[in-house]
Amino acid sequence: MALKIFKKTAYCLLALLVFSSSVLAEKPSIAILAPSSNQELSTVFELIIDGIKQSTPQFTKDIQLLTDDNQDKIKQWLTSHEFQAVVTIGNKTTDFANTLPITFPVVTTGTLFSNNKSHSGVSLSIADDALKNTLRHYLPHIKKLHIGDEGDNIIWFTTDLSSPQLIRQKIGHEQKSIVQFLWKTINQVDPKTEAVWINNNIEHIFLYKLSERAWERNVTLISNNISHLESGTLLAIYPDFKGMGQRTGELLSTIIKQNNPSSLRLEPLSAIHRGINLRTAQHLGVEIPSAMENDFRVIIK
Amino acid sequence: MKHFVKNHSFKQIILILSFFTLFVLAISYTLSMHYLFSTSISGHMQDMWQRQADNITEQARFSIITESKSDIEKILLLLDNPLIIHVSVYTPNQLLYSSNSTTPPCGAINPLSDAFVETENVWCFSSTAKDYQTKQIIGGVLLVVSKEAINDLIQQNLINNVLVVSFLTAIIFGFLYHSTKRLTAPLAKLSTVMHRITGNERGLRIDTEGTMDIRNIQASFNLMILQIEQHESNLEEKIKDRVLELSDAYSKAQGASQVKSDILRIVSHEMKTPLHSALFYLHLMKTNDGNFVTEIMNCLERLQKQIDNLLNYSQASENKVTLNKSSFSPKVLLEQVTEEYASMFKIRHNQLIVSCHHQDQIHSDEQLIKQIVSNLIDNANKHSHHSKVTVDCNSHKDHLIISVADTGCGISEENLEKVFIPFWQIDMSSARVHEGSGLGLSICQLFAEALEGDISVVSTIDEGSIFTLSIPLNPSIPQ
Repeated sequence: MALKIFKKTAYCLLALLVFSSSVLAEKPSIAILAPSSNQELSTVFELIIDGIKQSTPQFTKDIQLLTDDNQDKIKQWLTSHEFQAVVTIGNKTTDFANTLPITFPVVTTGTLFSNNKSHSGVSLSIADDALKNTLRHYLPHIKKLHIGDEGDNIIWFTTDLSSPQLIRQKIGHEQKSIVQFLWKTINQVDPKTEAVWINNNIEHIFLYKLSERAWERNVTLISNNISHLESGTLLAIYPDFKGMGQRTGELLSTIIKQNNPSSLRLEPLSAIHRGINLRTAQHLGVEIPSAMENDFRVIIK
Repeated sequence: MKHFVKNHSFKQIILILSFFTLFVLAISYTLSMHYLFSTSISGHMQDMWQRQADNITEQARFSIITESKSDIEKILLLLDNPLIIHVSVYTPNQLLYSSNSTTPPCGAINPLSDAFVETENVWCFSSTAKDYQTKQIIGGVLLVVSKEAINDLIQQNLINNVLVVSFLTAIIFGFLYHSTKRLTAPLAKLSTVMHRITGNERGLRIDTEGTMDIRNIQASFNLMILQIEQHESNLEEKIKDRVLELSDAYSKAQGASQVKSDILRIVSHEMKTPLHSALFYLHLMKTNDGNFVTEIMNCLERLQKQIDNLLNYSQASENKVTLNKSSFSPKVLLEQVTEEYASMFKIRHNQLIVSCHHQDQIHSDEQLIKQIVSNLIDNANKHSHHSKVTVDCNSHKDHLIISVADTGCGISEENLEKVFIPFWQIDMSSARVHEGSGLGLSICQLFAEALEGDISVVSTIDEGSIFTLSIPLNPSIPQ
């Protein structure tokens, strides 16, 4: 009897020990650095952070906004706490975090870096696979997509040589190079089988002129800027920021578990949304079945 | 300034100053407005054309990048402004487009910079096209605009300003001229009246008109002139009176001198006559032609009487008459005098009638009264011929009244007051009929006054005269 009571007591104590160790154990903590910005970008950052939270619910996260006048404060905050990792959103915060004497890993997201070897995380550059899949699915007649590469995007060497073919040409950052490339390309491509990728940062006045010319030649324009749809771009393939956050959270979990961030690399963005201009589609003779329209988050009719 | 003020009237000075002020104001206003308008419109037009150049550049940016001349021509065709005389578009390396072949008259302006050059006839604007991300200049536009229209506008505005200002200046000056004329007209009238007054015109007055202060001046002036004229009138009256007085005095002085000469002549004559007579009788006696002692004595008595009269008058006129009062009967006194003059009345064929109703004695100076009565009777006798001389003695109240009346030639009214004047005679010529020194009545009057009485006369021409002596019966005792 006494043994039985002893065993029961021992089991209870063991159960209590297991429960308390699981409850009282220190949770892994991460910090998130986001640049202060306007309302539109803040919404983007919130979506990314929401994605991170969804994929890493077990983590306690401190979020700080980085501005020019509170860099010292953030520096002190990061160096005086023991975080398991820090997530930086955007190029600026990533560069700032890399200057700090911290030992925990830095995971970036929403960035555009030309060197993928020095960072771990998710880039804003859309993965070629995602791009190709979209073209194949919605614009099967497009066999070539001409892209003016400003150099910020990492050239992802893909083994997928299937159609459509992504033809990248190195151009400069300046508008002159971009416009000259696009103008030349729009005037030279075969409208029936080739499309042109419109750079995200092109000025609207130039976009208007280019779209006007593309409209005249029935050239298909594709962009990763959703606002370009209004200017006559047929298809917009743009980031799914929440998905980007979720993917960042997955990478963060991997890093914390493996405790070896150097094993990871910066990867292109596969979580994307799509938008379409049906008027342009009608002008170009592209048919989008009604069933497919649900695939597009933005539709201009 | 003093010379200017001295040589111009008040009205002229106001008008000259007003015109000068208006002229300066008009010139200043016109030049200021011209400057403000020209700088304002020029600045405004420069800004507008600079924006136009920037706008062209902005529109041409794409064409510059794509080096599309046709697109640039399309852009410039839309401008279609005759004031634009030249447009050229440049890339950093070359002249991409030029609206005409002429070289723009803008000097060494760099079309790949944001610059502005102004010449006499044109404005040159250069505007750069930039890459907004890299800030690099990707091209430039040179816009040359004619200033002819704006210069014409400024010139037209200047002409309009001059016309308007001249018109307004003329109106204001006309108003000032009219106002000044109205304001200074009373002063001009005042000046004219003052000038006429200084030319000895009198009775001039100014109508009160104009502003309140000028009306006050005019009223004061009129009052002052009135007072001056009254003062002048009074002064003239006084001068006239003084002249008359002086003339009278002069006449009197001349008369007095004549009288004095006459008196001297008469007195000399009266004194020489008995003296010559006496000398004549003495001469006869010397040649043994007779005994004329009596006649000589009469002459000397007559001379003595003349001298006594002179002495008596001298004493009486200096109030040196000594009274020897005594009680005596006037009746007796009259009888004595009548007796003395009886012979002389016979010579003149006059009748002397004496009546005395006062029987009592009086207390007075008998000799003085006798002298008075004698003189009066002698006078009556001398101025009468074949007539009656009546001597009456009576008393009235406290006075003894002795009157001597004759029926002689009488005395005219104008001479009646002069009969008591010493040495005065009606006929003071050398050829006078009556003898005498003219002191008799004067001595009578002085003696009567010494006796505290008086003597008066009433007379009618050709009817006779009445001399009345009035002396107190009981004269006061001298203190």
